[in-house]
Amino acid sequence: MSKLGQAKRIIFLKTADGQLFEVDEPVAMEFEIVKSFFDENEDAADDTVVPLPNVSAEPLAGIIEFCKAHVEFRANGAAGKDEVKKFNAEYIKEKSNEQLKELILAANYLNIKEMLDFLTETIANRLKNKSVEYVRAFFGIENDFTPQEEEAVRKEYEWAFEGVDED
Amino acid sequence: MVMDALLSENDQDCENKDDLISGLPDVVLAQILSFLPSKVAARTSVLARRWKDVWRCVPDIELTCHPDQSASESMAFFATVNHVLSHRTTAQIRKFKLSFYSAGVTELYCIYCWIQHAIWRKVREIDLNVMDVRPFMLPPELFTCKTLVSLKLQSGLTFCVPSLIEFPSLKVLHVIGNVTEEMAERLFSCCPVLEELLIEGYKEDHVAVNLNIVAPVLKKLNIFLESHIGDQIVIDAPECKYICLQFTAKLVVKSLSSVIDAYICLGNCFGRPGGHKPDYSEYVYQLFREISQVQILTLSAITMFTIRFALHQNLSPFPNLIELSLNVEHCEDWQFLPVLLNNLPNLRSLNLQKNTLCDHERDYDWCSPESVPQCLLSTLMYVYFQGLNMREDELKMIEFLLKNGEVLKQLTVMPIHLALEDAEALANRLVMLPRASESCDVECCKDYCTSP
Repeated sequence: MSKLGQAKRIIFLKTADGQLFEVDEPVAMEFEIVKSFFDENEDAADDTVVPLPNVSAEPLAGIIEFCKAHVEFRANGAAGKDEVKKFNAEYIKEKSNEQLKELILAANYLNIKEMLDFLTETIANRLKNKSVEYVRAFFGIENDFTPQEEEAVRKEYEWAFEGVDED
Repeated sequence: MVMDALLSENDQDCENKDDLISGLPDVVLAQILSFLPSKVAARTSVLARRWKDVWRCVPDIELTCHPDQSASESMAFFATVNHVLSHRTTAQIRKFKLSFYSAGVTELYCIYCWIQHAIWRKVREIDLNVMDVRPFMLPPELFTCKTLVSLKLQSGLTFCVPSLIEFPSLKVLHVIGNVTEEMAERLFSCCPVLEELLIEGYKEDHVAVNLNIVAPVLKKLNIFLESHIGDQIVIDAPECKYICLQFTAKLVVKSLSSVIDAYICLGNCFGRPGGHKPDYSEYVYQLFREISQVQILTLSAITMFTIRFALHQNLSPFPNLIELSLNVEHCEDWQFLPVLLNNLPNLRSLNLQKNTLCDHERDYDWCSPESVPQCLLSTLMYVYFQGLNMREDELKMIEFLLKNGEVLKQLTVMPIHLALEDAEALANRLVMLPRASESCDVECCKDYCTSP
């Protein structure tokens, strides 16, 4: 956090596709990878650009939007309240599957626990009570088992397929 | 709802999409599966080769055996748990959650071994839900488990606890079921970092328990215990912010001075004149003194009944109390209200609720306080009364609040089981009452009235 009388510190982040992002310090520090960069380089100049070679601009923008909102929620003491759930639901509603995947990959790389928890739980909810065929189709998973192999796996985990309540 | 909308949107165009999810690293896929019951997670093994072993590295285990399952299905369930435990590829078990309804001796032995296994695998959370009634010895090493952060035992089983208990990391402890003498005495004072404690249960009739709670950093305490005056509950929780207490045991409060939100249901029905000696109120008063910094307070009907017999005692003020909710069963129990109002200089919101199902009530004379309480003059803005009927004594009470509430903004009454026309008459009467605060809205909510 900035000290009294000082301007807010801005962190510069550069994505794989060469875009430069200017992010408020508290938001950038949500990214564990950025935080440890500065922890390890204590004397880094204020205009240091942190390279993020595994993240492109689009997911990063989405991640900044999410983290910014959550930093504010926490500052206002709204963490865990309905307001947050509403924001999360709205946030995810607008995202396509492809965007969601990019977000998870990026959140995993940047190591943002809160966001990763939220995204993985969202995916888990979509897997609940769905048939194997549905899940394959929904996520575009190609079945590379031969019929015999698949049968063998089903037999091995027979207990998991008993009494299945599918939607 | 949101999920469904999303699914239907994406259903049409998912066919030609590249594999959205399989490219994620194992650790992320395992995290996704950790939100699912183990059985559902295991089913992902047939999605594709990539997925065959992912479920085995999920650190969380959650298994449920439904109550309607037959004996053979139940057997299969135990085989399943063994299967899940033996097929895992990660070293750590983070969470071990197990729910089932009945267990024979062999099964109980299995549970014992599973818990041991989880302890070896440095388990952080154990959640055991067993609906069976018999004594059961948990592995002694559970009670000295260094990694355990959360322990939830919900069961008809009688858990035997060892003499050595030491939970250096335990933050959450729930015990739902039989509270034994040893458990009461030892289990709740050996958790130095405990933040949340829930005890919801009963005890054997013939034993008197001495429930001993010593928790220096406890934040939240819930006790619902079927108990009687022969039992004793000692509470020493100086940092505790939320309490919810429901029992009739003797209460000894060593420290509860940080409480800001309290629900109190203490006492018994034996305090009636001519009945047992009405001495339980002493414990309630002792608690009141200890939680004098409380901001939100709810007193149950039983508490109101209990303290009615101790109005002569000096009540210490609650300087920070802003929201008070009172429940009563009988009009007479409102006697405590003027006493309370005199000691709540900053009260903003008053919620009154009466169980109107008792027909044969005695008349009670509302006795206005000699001087108008401070909160009516300067802070009380909202009054809500659920269950108000056409009783003159209660109308007098409302009249007093309206006549003296200088800063009142809203008075809402909600009659229950009153015919609609009577509710209209009540509303008309309320509107005619003189008000000290010109801007006060008086509303009669007729949602629960009966139509002719």
